[in-house]
Amino acid sequence: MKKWLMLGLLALGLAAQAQGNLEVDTPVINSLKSSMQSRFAQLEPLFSAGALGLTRDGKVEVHDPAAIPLAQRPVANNLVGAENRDRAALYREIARANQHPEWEADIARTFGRRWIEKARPGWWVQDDNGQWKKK
Amino acid sequence: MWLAGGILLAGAAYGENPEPLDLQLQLARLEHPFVVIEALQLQVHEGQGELQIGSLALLGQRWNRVRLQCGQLDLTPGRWRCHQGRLQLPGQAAIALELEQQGGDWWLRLQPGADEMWRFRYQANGRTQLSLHNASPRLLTTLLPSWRAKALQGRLNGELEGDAHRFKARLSLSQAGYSSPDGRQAAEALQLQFEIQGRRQAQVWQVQGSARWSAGLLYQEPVLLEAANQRLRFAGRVDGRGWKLDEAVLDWPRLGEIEAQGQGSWQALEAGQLRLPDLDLQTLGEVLLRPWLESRGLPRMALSGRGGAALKWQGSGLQQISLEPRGAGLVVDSGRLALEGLSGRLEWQRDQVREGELRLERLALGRLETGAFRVPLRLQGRELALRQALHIPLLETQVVVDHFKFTYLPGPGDWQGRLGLSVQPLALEALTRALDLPTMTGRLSANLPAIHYARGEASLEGDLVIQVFDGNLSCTELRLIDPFGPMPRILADVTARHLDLGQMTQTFSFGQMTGFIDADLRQLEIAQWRPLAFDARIVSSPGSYPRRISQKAVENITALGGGGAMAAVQGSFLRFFQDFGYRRIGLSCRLENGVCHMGGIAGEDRNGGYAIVEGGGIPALTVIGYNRNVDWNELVSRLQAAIRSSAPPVIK
Repeated sequence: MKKWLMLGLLALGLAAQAQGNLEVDTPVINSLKSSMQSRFAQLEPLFSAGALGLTRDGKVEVHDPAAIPLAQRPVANNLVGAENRDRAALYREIARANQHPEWEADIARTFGRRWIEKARPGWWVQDDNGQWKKK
Repeated sequence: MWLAGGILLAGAAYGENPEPLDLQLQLARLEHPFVVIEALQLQVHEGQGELQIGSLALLGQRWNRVRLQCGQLDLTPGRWRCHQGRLQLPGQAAIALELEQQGGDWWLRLQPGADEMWRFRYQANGRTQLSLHNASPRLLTTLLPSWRAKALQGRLNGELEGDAHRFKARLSLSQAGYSSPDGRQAAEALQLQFEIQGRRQAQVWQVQGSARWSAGLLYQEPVLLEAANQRLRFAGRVDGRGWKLDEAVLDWPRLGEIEAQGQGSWQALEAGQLRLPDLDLQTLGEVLLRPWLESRGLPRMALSGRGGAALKWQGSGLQQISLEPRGAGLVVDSGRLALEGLSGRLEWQRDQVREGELRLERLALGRLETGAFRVPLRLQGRELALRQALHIPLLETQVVVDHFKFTYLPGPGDWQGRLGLSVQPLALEALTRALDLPTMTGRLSANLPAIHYARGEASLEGDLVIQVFDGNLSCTELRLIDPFGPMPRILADVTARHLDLGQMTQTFSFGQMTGFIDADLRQLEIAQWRPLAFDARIVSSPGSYPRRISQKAVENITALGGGGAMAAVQGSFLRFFQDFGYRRIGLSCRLENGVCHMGGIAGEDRNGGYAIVEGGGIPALTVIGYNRNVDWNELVSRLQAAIRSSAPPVIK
């Protein structure tokens, strides 16, 4: 019982600390964020069309390819690939900037929750169990 | 056959009585491995007939209340015919049909839609014919509702015929499409032609055929394939236990031929092999590799040249892979990394050690190009290693890779490995010329016995030593972060000792200075060849040597100090002399988020300023900086401007 409590406290502490340092700002983080921002104009219509969704681990996934005309699907796949590449690099970089590379997965999940909170109504998002639902 | 028997019985029963009579026939249940019919009712009344089936189970589906109505039912001895018939399945539009039986022969004509016809003929000798005119998938999805979700479209035309000993079919599919419910497999506007024929010998069917794909798109996430008149021909055998593909050849224009062989039971593939003897790699890269890599966020790659490959598969999994590039080329991220003239052979075999060798004519990393070299490799399990040291010619010397070993880990960790390399002394003159930098003389050598790569990060044990400007510069704590990611970075600590200022200032047209300096750059971080962060300190080297600084150098140093820097001498006084004496030089800059936090000679801060040059000798000159936080980009552009022009900065 004591052990469990300790673990819980540790996890809480980690989450709180990770939360506190998510705003860390380095040239690499800025560059990744601006790359993601400039891509957003292309991703936004795909989110609105229900083609893409936000996963709980902070990534973008093709949720419903059928919502994209067949000839455009490779373009959408490439956008998702490039976006996830930037996102993975962003989480890793934030973990590094916090001097805790092992926090990467926690940071990704925290960001996942944030992106989902910020998602517009009608977008597909994953709940805590990984199930897709429309926001 | 069995169903025919049942209805024939009804016909025969009626045939005994020539008078047109009302007839009623009821069957409670009929069973057959493929069909189960319950509550069958046949009614004939004044030349019209109706067949009702309470429950029909066929092809794994079950329908309740199936009705077959005949607008006109001709019943004569030995022959019957259902004319203007309608087949009604629950929840479906009625299908027009004609059904006729004479002796052992059957005719069935179905018209599920306008301008659509399915003609079926079965002869007493076992010969069966099916002819299709604009057949749509509707009939199929009616019989197999699970196919409805695939959104099948298209028209099928052609003929199928056969008996117990042989069959042949010639079909053409046009405007065809489908989509899996999740959209990850789909097709659009497909045009396909097939021909297939078979002959039975004992219990084995020998089958052969061909197909041609002439139009449309085929999508298997993430790859979208386009029709280019791809042709397939195949021959094989089929029996009750399984199948064997003797040979299939897919001829893909521009790409090359793909050959396949295999065998399996009806449940699983037992063995198979794929041979791609001579492929055009550029097409392979564009069609298959690029979409696959880019959807995984890997950098854009372009392939060129030709090559062969083979894969062997057996029940337990992949057994063997061999690759044979023939003058292949690879360009990553439009030139960040390029390989040219790659040839040789590489083989991987499950549970075996295989040795192979690749030859490379040229490897380019940005502007740096190597000569030709050989790469002797060993493959074992998930491990790729070097068999012998690698000698890579680079700028009249060589880079020697003593060892490397990489292991592929399934999952997010991807690759992990270690290598050791050394750079034999390399003339800086050639290196700086190749990199388009100001020409420097000196030598670079490196000894990095242990480079570890894991989790997207390479750490380098050992050091890189550059003998330049008569001094020594060494890089330690070298790390490469995300070398294959969107923002590759280099981290290092740089220590420089006894650099000759005379040579340095001449190289960079920084005016004239004599003397020596020591420099320390801690936690240097570079991305896209620009520094992101460092903690730097430059001081005069200890020892006794002449220390002079020219007017132009003073101007440039004041520029370095930012807007607030000034030379602590009278402007008129400065103009009389070409150079001055100094006692010490000191400058520090901690670069953080684009801002350089500056300082001067330790312990020599005065009046809120910091001394960069402390005067000494005759005439003496002291340079003091006042601006402690300078924007890095501004500093660099001001320095560049100062070096370019000889216009004097503001000196008070």
